[in-house]
Amino acid sequence: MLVLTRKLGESIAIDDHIKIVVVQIKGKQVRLGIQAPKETKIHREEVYSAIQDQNKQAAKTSVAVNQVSKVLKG
Amino acid sequence: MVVQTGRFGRLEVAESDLISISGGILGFPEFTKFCLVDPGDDVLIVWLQSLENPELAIPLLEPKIFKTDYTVRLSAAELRELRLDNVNQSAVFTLLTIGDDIAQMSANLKAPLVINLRERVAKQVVLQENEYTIKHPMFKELRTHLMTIASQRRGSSATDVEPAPRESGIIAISTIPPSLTVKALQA
Repeated sequence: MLVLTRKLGESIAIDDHIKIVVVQIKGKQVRLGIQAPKETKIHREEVYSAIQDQNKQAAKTSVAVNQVSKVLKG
Repeated sequence: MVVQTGRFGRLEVAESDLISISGGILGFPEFTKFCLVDPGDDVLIVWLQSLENPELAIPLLEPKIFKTDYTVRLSAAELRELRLDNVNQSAVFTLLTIGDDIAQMSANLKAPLVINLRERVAKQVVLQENEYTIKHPMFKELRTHLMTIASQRRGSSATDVEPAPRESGIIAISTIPPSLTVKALQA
Protein backbone atom coordinates (compact mmCIF):
# COMPACT_ATOMS: atom_id res chain seq x y z
CA MET A 1 0.00 0.00 0.00
CA LEU A 2 1.18 3.48 -0.84
CA VAL A 3 1.25 5.69 2.26
CA LEU A 4 1.36 9.50 1.95
CA THR A 5 1.45 12.23 4.59
CA ARG A 6 -0.90 15.17 4.01
CA LYS A 7 -1.64 18.34 5.99
CA LEU A 8 -5.03 19.99 6.45
CA GLY A 9 -6.21 21.41 3.15
CA GLU A 10 -3.77 19.34 1.11
CA SER A 11 -4.99 16.76 -1.34
CA ILE A 12 -4.01 13.80 -3.44
CA ALA A 13 -4.93 13.16 -7.04
CA ILE A 14 -5.76 9.71 -8.42
CA ASP A 15 -5.55 9.48 -12.19
CA ASP A 16 -6.66 12.70 -13.81
CA HIS A 17 -10.16 12.73 -12.48
CA ILE A 18 -10.19 11.94 -8.78
CA LYS A 19 -9.12 14.33 -6.05
CA ILE A 20 -9.23 13.68 -2.31
CA VAL A 21 -8.85 16.64 0.06
CA VAL A 22 -8.26 16.60 3.83
CA VAL A 23 -11.07 18.94 4.90
CA GLN A 24 -10.87 18.69 8.67
CA ILE A 25 -8.81 16.93 11.33
CA LYS A 26 -10.40 16.62 14.76
CA GLY A 27 -8.85 14.25 17.30
CA LYS A 28 -9.10 10.77 15.81
CA GLN A 29 -11.44 11.86 13.02
CA VAL A 30 -10.48 12.99 9.56
CA ARG A 31 -12.99 14.52 7.16
CA LEU A 32 -12.22 13.92 3.54
CA GLY A 33 -13.64 15.66 0.51
CA ILE A 34 -13.79 13.58 -2.64
CA GLN A 35 -14.07 14.97 -6.14
CA ALA A 36 -14.73 12.31 -8.73
CA PRO A 37 -16.67 11.82 -11.97
CA LYS A 38 -20.34 11.10 -11.38
CA GLU A 39 -19.95 7.52 -12.53
CA THR A 40 -17.40 6.66 -9.83
CA LYS A 41 -18.91 4.70 -6.96
CA ILE A 42 -17.68 5.71 -3.52
CA HIS A 43 -18.65 3.76 -0.41
CA ARG A 44 -17.59 3.63 3.20
CA GLU A 45 -15.93 0.24 3.71
CA GLU A 46 -18.56 -0.65 6.35
CA VAL A 47 -21.24 -0.77 3.64
CA TYR A 48 -19.60 -3.91 2.24
CA SER A 49 -19.35 -5.69 5.57
CA ALA A 50 -22.98 -4.80 6.35
CA ILE A 51 -24.05 -6.33 3.02
CA GLN A 52 -21.95 -9.44 3.69
CA ASP A 53 -23.68 -9.87 7.06
CA GLN A 54 -27.09 -9.31 5.47
CA ASN A 55 -26.36 -11.92 2.75
CA LYS A 56 -25.37 -14.42 5.43
CA GLN A 57 -28.65 -13.78 7.22
CA ALA A 58 -30.56 -14.11 3.93
CA ALA A 59 -28.85 -17.47 3.30
CA LYS A 60 -29.77 -18.65 6.77
CA THR A 61 -33.53 -18.60 6.10
CA SER A 62 -34.67 -21.61 8.06
CA VAL A 63 -38.43 -21.43 7.51
CA ALA A 64 -39.82 -23.80 4.91
CA VAL A 65 -40.90 -22.47 1.52
CA ASN A 66 -44.50 -23.65 2.01
CA GLN A 67 -44.63 -21.85 5.36
CA VAL A 68 -43.64 -18.59 3.65
CA SER A 69 -46.29 -19.01 0.94
CA LYS A 70 -48.94 -19.89 3.52
CA VAL A 71 -48.32 -16.69 5.48
CA LEU A 72 -48.18 -14.57 2.30
CA LYS A 73 -51.40 -16.02 0.93
CA GLY A 74 -53.19 -16.10 4.27
CA MET B 1 -25.72 -31.40 -14.69
CA VAL B 2 -27.49 -32.94 -11.69
CA VAL B 3 -27.08 -31.34 -8.28
CA GLN B 4 -28.39 -32.31 -4.90
CA THR B 5 -29.75 -29.34 -2.93
CA GLY B 6 -30.80 -28.98 0.67
CA ARG B 7 -34.03 -27.13 0.01
CA PHE B 8 -35.21 -28.44 -3.35
CA GLY B 9 -33.80 -31.95 -3.48
CA ARG B 10 -32.32 -33.18 -6.74
CA LEU B 11 -32.18 -30.64 -9.55
CA GLU B 12 -31.26 -31.15 -13.16
CA VAL B 13 -29.72 -27.96 -14.50
CA ALA B 14 -29.19 -27.37 -18.19
CA GLU B 15 -26.04 -25.51 -19.22
CA SER B 16 -28.28 -22.77 -20.63
CA ASP B 17 -29.84 -22.09 -17.20
CA LEU B 18 -26.59 -21.79 -15.29
CA ILE B 19 -25.68 -18.33 -14.01
CA SER B 20 -22.07 -17.36 -13.32
CA ILE B 21 -21.34 -14.83 -10.62
CA SER B 22 -17.62 -14.21 -10.83
CA GLY B 23 -16.34 -13.42 -7.36
CA GLY B 24 -19.59 -14.73 -5.89
CA ILE B 25 -22.05 -12.70 -3.87
CA LEU B 26 -20.74 -10.64 -0.96
CA GLY B 27 -19.88 -12.89 1.97
CA PHE B 28 -19.71 -16.05 -0.19
CA PRO B 29 -16.84 -15.42 -2.62
CA GLU B 30 -16.06 -19.13 -3.09
CA PHE B 31 -19.34 -20.01 -4.84
CA THR B 32 -19.78 -18.77 -8.39
CA LYS B 33 -22.24 -21.11 -10.12
CA PHE B 34 -25.95 -20.71 -9.52
CA CYS B 35 -29.38 -21.39 -10.94
CA LEU B 36 -32.79 -19.90 -10.21
CA VAL B 37 -35.47 -22.11 -8.69
CA ASP B 38 -39.20 -21.45 -8.72
CA PRO B 39 -40.79 -23.34 -5.81
CA GLY B 40 -44.07 -23.33 -7.78
CA ASP B 41 -46.11 -21.72 -5.00
CA ASP B 42 -47.15 -18.57 -6.88
CA VAL B 43 -45.86 -16.05 -4.34
CA LEU B 44 -43.29 -14.62 -6.81
CA ILE B 45 -40.31 -15.41 -4.58
CA VAL B 46 -37.65 -17.34 -6.47
CA TRP B 47 -34.43 -18.82 -5.08
CA LEU B 48 -30.82 -18.30 -6.04
CA GLN B 49 -29.45 -21.80 -5.55
CA SER B 50 -25.72 -22.47 -5.46
CA LEU B 51 -24.67 -25.45 -7.59
CA GLU B 52 -21.50 -25.86 -5.53
CA ASN B 53 -22.95 -25.62 -2.03
CA PRO B 54 -26.25 -27.52 -1.63
CA GLU B 55 -27.14 -25.55 1.49
CA LEU B 56 -26.64 -22.10 -0.06
CA ALA B 57 -29.98 -20.79 -1.34
CA ILE B 58 -31.16 -17.19 -1.06
CA PRO B 59 -34.71 -15.98 -1.69
CA LEU B 60 -35.08 -13.30 -4.37
CA LEU B 61 -37.87 -10.97 -5.41
CA GLU B 62 -38.24 -8.50 -8.23
CA PRO B 63 -38.11 -5.04 -6.60
CA LYS B 64 -40.68 -3.47 -8.93
CA ILE B 65 -43.32 -5.57 -7.12
CA PHE B 66 -42.94 -3.53 -3.93
CA LYS B 67 -41.08 -0.42 -5.12
CA THR B 68 -42.25 0.73 -8.51
CA ASP B 69 -39.76 3.60 -8.87
CA TYR B 70 -36.68 1.48 -8.11
CA THR B 71 -33.75 2.21 -10.39
CA VAL B 72 -30.35 0.53 -10.60
CA ARG B 73 -27.62 2.85 -11.84
CA LEU B 74 -24.47 1.04 -12.92
CA SER B 75 -20.98 2.43 -13.43
CA ALA B 76 -19.04 1.81 -16.62
CA ALA B 77 -16.91 -0.75 -14.75
CA GLU B 78 -19.99 -2.65 -13.56
CA LEU B 79 -21.51 -2.64 -17.04
CA ARG B 80 -18.22 -4.01 -18.39
CA GLU B 81 -18.05 -6.70 -15.73
CA LEU B 82 -21.63 -7.73 -16.52
CA ARG B 83 -20.86 -7.56 -20.27
CA LEU B 84 -23.98 -5.42 -20.61
CA ASP B 85 -23.77 -3.45 -23.82
CA ASN B 86 -27.53 -3.11 -23.74
CA VAL B 87 -28.94 -2.41 -20.25
CA ASN B 88 -32.33 -3.70 -21.36
CA GLN B 89 -31.11 -7.29 -21.55
CA SER B 90 -30.87 -7.50 -17.79
CA ALA B 91 -33.06 -8.62 -14.92
CA VAL B 92 -32.87 -7.25 -11.40
CA PHE B 93 -33.68 -9.10 -8.19
CA THR B 94 -33.37 -8.08 -4.56
CA LEU B 95 -32.10 -10.56 -1.97
CA LEU B 96 -34.62 -11.24 0.77
CA THR B 97 -34.02 -11.94 4.42
CA ILE B 98 -36.80 -14.07 5.86
CA GLY B 99 -36.51 -14.70 9.57
CA ASP B 100 -38.66 -16.83 11.84
CA ASP B 101 -41.25 -14.05 11.87
CA ILE B 102 -42.16 -14.15 8.18
CA ALA B 103 -44.07 -10.85 8.34
CA GLN B 104 -40.78 -9.12 9.17
CA MET B 105 -39.16 -10.14 5.86
CA SER B 106 -36.99 -7.51 4.19
CA ALA B 107 -35.31 -6.83 0.87
CA ASN B 108 -31.81 -5.52 0.28
CA LEU B 109 -32.34 -2.49 -1.98
CA LYS B 110 -28.76 -1.29 -1.54
CA ALA B 111 -27.18 -4.34 -3.18
CA PRO B 112 -29.40 -6.01 -5.80
CA LEU B 113 -28.46 -8.89 -8.07
CA VAL B 114 -28.24 -7.88 -11.73
CA ILE B 115 -28.35 -10.68 -14.29
CA ASN B 116 -27.28 -10.31 -17.90
CA LEU B 117 -29.96 -12.51 -19.45
CA ARG B 118 -28.12 -13.01 -22.72
CA GLU B 119 -24.67 -13.86 -21.31
CA ARG B 120 -26.01 -15.47 -18.11
CA VAL B 121 -23.55 -13.66 -15.90
CA ALA B 122 -24.63 -11.83 -12.78
CA LYS B 123 -23.24 -9.55 -10.12
CA GLN B 124 -24.40 -8.23 -6.80
CA VAL B 125 -23.88 -4.49 -7.24
CA VAL B 126 -23.67 -1.91 -4.47
CA LEU B 127 -25.68 1.19 -5.30
CA GLN B 128 -24.66 4.72 -4.39
CA GLU B 129 -28.11 5.92 -3.33
CA ASN B 130 -28.24 6.44 0.42
CA GLU B 131 -32.02 6.13 0.55
CA TYR B 132 -31.75 2.45 -0.42
CA THR B 133 -31.32 0.37 2.73
CA ILE B 134 -30.09 -3.20 3.10
CA LYS B 135 -33.15 -4.08 5.18
CA HIS B 136 -36.22 -2.64 3.48
CA PRO B 137 -39.46 -4.11 4.92
CA MET B 138 -41.81 -5.23 2.13
CA PHE B 139 -44.09 -7.97 3.47
CA LYS B 140 -47.27 -5.84 3.33
CA GLU B 141 -46.60 -4.67 -0.23
CA LEU B 142 -45.93 -8.20 -1.48
CA ARG B 143 -49.05 -9.53 0.25
CA THR B 144 -51.21 -6.75 -1.25
CA HIS B 145 -49.74 -7.45 -4.68
CA LEU B 146 -50.53 -11.17 -4.37
CA MET B 147 -54.08 -10.41 -3.26
CA THR B 148 -54.56 -8.12 -6.27
CA ILE B 149 -53.34 -10.83 -8.65
CA ALA B 150 -55.61 -13.39 -7.00
CA SER B 151 -58.69 -11.19 -7.28
CA GLN B 152 -57.91 -10.36 -10.91
CA ARG B 153 -57.60 -14.07 -11.64
CA ARG B 154 -60.93 -14.75 -9.97
CA GLY B 155 -62.54 -11.91 -11.89
CA SER B 156 -61.33 -13.11 -15.27
CA SER B 157 -62.14 -16.81 -14.98
CA ALA B 158 -65.67 -18.14 -15.00
CA THR B 159 -64.98 -20.82 -12.44
CA ASP B 160 -63.78 -20.18 -8.95
CA VAL B 161 -61.13 -22.87 -8.87
CA GLU B 162 -57.62 -22.15 -7.67
CA PRO B 163 -54.87 -22.88 -10.22
CA ALA B 164 -53.47 -26.37 -9.85
CA PRO B 165 -50.37 -26.52 -7.65
CA ARG B 166 -47.17 -26.65 -9.65
CA GLU B 167 -43.99 -28.53 -8.97
CA SER B 168 -40.84 -26.65 -8.09
CA GLY B 169 -38.40 -26.34 -10.95
CA ILE B 170 -35.46 -24.58 -12.51
CA ILE B 171 -36.31 -21.27 -14.15
CA ALA B 172 -35.20 -21.14 -17.77
CA ILE B 173 -33.19 -17.93 -18.16
CA SER B 174 -34.64 -17.42 -21.64
CA THR B 175 -38.13 -17.02 -20.11
CA ILE B 176 -37.19 -14.20 -17.72
CA PRO B 177 -38.42 -10.84 -18.99
CA PRO B 178 -35.96 -7.92 -18.79
CA SER B 179 -36.56 -5.69 -15.76
CA LEU B 180 -35.96 -2.39 -17.54
CA THR B 181 -34.79 -0.86 -14.25
CA VAL B 182 -31.09 -0.70 -15.06
CA LYS B 183 -29.60 2.61 -16.16
CA ALA B 184 -26.03 3.57 -16.97
CA LEU B 185 -24.47 6.19 -14.71
CA GLN B 186 -23.61 9.18 -16.87
CA ALA B 187 -20.02 10.39 -16.73
